[in-house]
Amino acid sequence: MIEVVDVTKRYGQHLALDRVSFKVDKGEILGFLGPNGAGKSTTMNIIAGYLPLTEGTVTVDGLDVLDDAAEVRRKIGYLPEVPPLYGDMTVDEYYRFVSRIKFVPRNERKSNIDEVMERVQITNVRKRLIRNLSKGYRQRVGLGAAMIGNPEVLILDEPTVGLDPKQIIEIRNLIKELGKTHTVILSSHILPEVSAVCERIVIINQGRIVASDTPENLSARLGGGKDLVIRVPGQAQPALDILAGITDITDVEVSGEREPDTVDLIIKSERDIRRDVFSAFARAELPILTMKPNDLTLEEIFIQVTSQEGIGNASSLS
Amino acid sequence: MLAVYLKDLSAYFRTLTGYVFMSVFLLVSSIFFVTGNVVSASPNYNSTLGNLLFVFILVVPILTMRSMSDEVAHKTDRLLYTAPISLTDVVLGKYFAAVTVFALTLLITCLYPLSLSFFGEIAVWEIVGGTIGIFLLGCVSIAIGIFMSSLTDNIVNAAISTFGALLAVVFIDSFRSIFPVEINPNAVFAAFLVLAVALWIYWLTRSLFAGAAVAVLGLAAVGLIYWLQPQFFQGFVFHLLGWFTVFYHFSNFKMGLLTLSSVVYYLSFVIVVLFLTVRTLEKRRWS
Repeated sequence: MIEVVDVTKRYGQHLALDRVSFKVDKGEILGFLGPNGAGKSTTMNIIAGYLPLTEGTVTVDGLDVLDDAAEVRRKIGYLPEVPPLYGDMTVDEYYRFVSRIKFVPRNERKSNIDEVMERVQITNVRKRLIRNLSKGYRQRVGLGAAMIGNPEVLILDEPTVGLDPKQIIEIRNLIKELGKTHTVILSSHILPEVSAVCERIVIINQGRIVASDTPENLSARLGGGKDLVIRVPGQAQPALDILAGITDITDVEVSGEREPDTVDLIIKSERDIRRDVFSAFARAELPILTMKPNDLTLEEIFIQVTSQEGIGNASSLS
Repeated sequence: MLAVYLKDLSAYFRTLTGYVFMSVFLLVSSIFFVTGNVVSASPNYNSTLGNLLFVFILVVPILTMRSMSDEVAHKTDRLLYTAPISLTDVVLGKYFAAVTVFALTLLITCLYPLSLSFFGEIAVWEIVGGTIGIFLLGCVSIAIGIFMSSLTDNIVNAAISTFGALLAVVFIDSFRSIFPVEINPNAVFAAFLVLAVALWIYWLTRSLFAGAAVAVLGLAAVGLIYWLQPQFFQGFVFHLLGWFTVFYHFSNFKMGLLTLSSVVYYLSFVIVVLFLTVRTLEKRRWS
């Protein structure tokens, strides 16, 4: 649906994007992750047709964003970082304006606006001036504006910023719901959000894509999936003695006390050793309080990838 | 275009801008009317209209300062530029919205000569011609204001530069006669003008080649004309500045002369300035 090929963007001497390439399939939700200033918003601005690119091509549904600009813009709904709202308009007036400039047919405007308001839950404030709305409501008005005209592609730049936890969950569910019928690209620096909503993640740092995969694969590739974390009561030494009796353990690391009077151990191994660990501790009558695979959280992946330009740059592009 | 037009038109009356413009314009014009026509019992309304020119310098910046700059400042330009409407639609919508507010205000001032007509004979057609002239002049001033507004994202800068540009246009008529008419200084000025244009082209395209090509070709042309047809440069600056004597053309209207050439002049001036506005906005996005 969206194809970004070798896109480079320069601001004077500053290289904002360096040969960025990725693809988004129809009906996919792609998460865009990166520290501030990494080039997330620039990439989104380019796809939405707000900024021109210096080199490379971007196509949406086979149409070039520069050559067929008007046609492409009909297919895209865009929520920029700062929602483009007119404070002196009511929500109703604003949505009518947006549906006019998006060429929504006259007879569909009212039903389209009502439906969008219902979905982002702002029907109760439709007669109020946008200026007087809270940050959360404004964010939702902006999200709704992107949805007007029912575009096939939604580009959402930090859609949940400024919302309270309850609203964040509502908007996340809404985006998931939208993902069934739309192609969605969303950026965020809230990592659990991306892993909860997105099917695929692109991590960008200093204008370059450093990783691109599903959240699970990213985690597995970095974490080595067979490692275990266990928590046992008391000191580390008795546990270490028990573990010494199990074959195929390559390394044991004491990671410290996370809970009073317990100790956490990270056990590295090439094979699945959960049964052996369980039986060994059961025989020694030392209870295992927690046992879980040592998957990296997205936070850890993010820090690893963006701080050391890790996991195979070009090979990870899909 | 209609969507942007309606949005901006209603914005003028949702915010204070439209009311400030109307009240200042009507206040100053009524002072001119009362002193020029009522107190002095003069039926010559067109001299009052002539005085309104100076009101333009004051109030047009109020009308146009927000037009483009506010969109950029509030980042709503992202909505306009990523919608399927064209940049020309945006500029024209904004332009016609400002012109509409101005036209409404001018319509109210038509009450002045109407009230005069109850007390004596007035030269109806002369006044109609004068009013049309004022309207066209307003259209030109508003186009200049919109252009200035597209150059900056700060409304104060937009207002002040519009003020300065209109002031320059008003004084250009008396100002241009101080330039020498001899051939040599005018030829030198033409050469500098070519260099300035070349620099501007370079700034627009960021291509050293394009700028250098314009400079070389332009200077060659100036040299060739100087060699073959030196009298071309006789009063060159004077004639060049003559293109910008927007207010000079008004003197015809003031006498009730609605000449086609003046109307065409005003309309083409508006079209050129609005075209430049669209190009500037595009250029600002590309850089």
